[in-house]
Amino acid sequence: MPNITLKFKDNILGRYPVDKGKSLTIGRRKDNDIVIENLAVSGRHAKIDSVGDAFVLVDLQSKNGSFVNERLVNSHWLKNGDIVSIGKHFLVFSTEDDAAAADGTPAEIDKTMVMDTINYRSMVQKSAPMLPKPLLRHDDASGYLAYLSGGQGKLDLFSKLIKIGKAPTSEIVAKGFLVGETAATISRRPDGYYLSYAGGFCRPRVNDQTVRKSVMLRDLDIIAIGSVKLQFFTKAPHASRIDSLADGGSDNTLA
Amino acid sequence: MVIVESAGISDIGRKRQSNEDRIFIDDAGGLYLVADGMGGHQAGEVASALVVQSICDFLGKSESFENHTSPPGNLSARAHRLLAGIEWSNQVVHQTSTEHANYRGMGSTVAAVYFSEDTVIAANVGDSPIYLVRNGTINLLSVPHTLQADLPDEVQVPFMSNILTRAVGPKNVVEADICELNCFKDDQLVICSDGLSTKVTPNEIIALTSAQPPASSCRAMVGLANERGGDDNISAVVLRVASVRRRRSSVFLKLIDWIKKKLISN
Repeated sequence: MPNITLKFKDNILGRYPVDKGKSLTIGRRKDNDIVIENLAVSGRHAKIDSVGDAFVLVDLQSKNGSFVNERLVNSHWLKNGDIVSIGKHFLVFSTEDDAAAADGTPAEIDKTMVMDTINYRSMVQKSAPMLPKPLLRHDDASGYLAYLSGGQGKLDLFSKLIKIGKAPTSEIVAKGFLVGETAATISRRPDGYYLSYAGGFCRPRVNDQTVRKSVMLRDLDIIAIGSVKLQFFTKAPHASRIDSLADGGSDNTLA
Repeated sequence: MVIVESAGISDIGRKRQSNEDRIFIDDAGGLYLVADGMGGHQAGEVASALVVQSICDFLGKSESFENHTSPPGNLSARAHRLLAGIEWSNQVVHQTSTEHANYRGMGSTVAAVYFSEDTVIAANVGDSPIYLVRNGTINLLSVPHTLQADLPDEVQVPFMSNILTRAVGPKNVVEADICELNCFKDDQLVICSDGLSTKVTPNEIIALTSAQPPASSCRAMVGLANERGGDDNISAVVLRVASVRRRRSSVFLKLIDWIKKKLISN
């Protein structure tokens, strides 16, 4: 007879037969057939209906959703070996009489896995009503430098590494007897831009503080080296996205 | 020239049957790798081993071309070679996974640190982090490629932290994140697998890497991750920059150059 094995991590919490012609309900409330006592689980989370010879899992518009083999589903025809995830619990569906079969295949979901783009998109798309839009990553943000002296105009910081120094190949050429061929660099790191000393006798200064190693650049910082003085600006191109999250985010946040 | 002290441990942990992590340390070449494989039937072990092997082979072979390639963009030639090495490893893993049924869908993360003349290059695919510990602060040089990382912090979706959005192997192309920065004496870099980073907090990493040599901090971090359950394989590579020798011509030579220039221009 088909059955459902309820698991939490590697522990089996229970095994429930799935009968033809009957429904099973899954949820946090005591009156469900399968009770999962966890706040991530809705009172009435999902149900399993018998349809002909087959069984279908239906999510009952639960707050955190039901996943089958890592995909968010509204309804899903259950196959042997399907792993339903609700909160942090797993329900393994098995059509085998031999109950050991369900034990033999531990939930692989515990391990790291790659989600392909299609899964990712569909999951995010389906999750759209409940999930706020992704915030901008720092990677999207960019900055620019504007010359205060020693040059003209501004320089967008798209590159990963910008060299400042006497070498003509530098993105920013700074003159001065003690300025190194490459005197300083600006590297783009996941959390922002950093100015580092690179070589030569003349160390860069940020807001009149000598940089001995490196500093993270903040909006409006003033960089001086040799003949060049620059001001750093950050751009926040997607500020509107943050606003929309702040407006509608609170009631959408998952438990 | 950057002189680095290094140490690394890859530990199976307490729950898993096999170690799917691989580490690689080469002080002479200035290359350090951590790869965390995934996929059933030993495929995870195969993937991480292939990643490490193919990146090493690639960087070893192309050494002689270093001076001939003019780097596009602003990264150093070495950084471009590292990126090319990661792309190469992706092809190797992807091809192997399509040729062998047992290895289908296998993949691996990779976190690489590569030293050039006076900079350090950090590149990654997946969720194995690279930390920079400098002056008592810690920063992430890698970009976590997980579903969770793409969402705001306040949204916690069950097991999303385990789901990678990028890995070496599953697709025929891969894009690594990279950054290059100047390094300084006493900088420390920690490359690890998520078996360590999910158990040991960044502040604890600062504490464990300060005031002890890389080998001891490695042992301490892996020990702590095991004490807290050791749910996954645990790998750590700890690097300490012992000295940075910058190329610098003498003041005297510079003075002569300067006088010459002045004379010519007059």
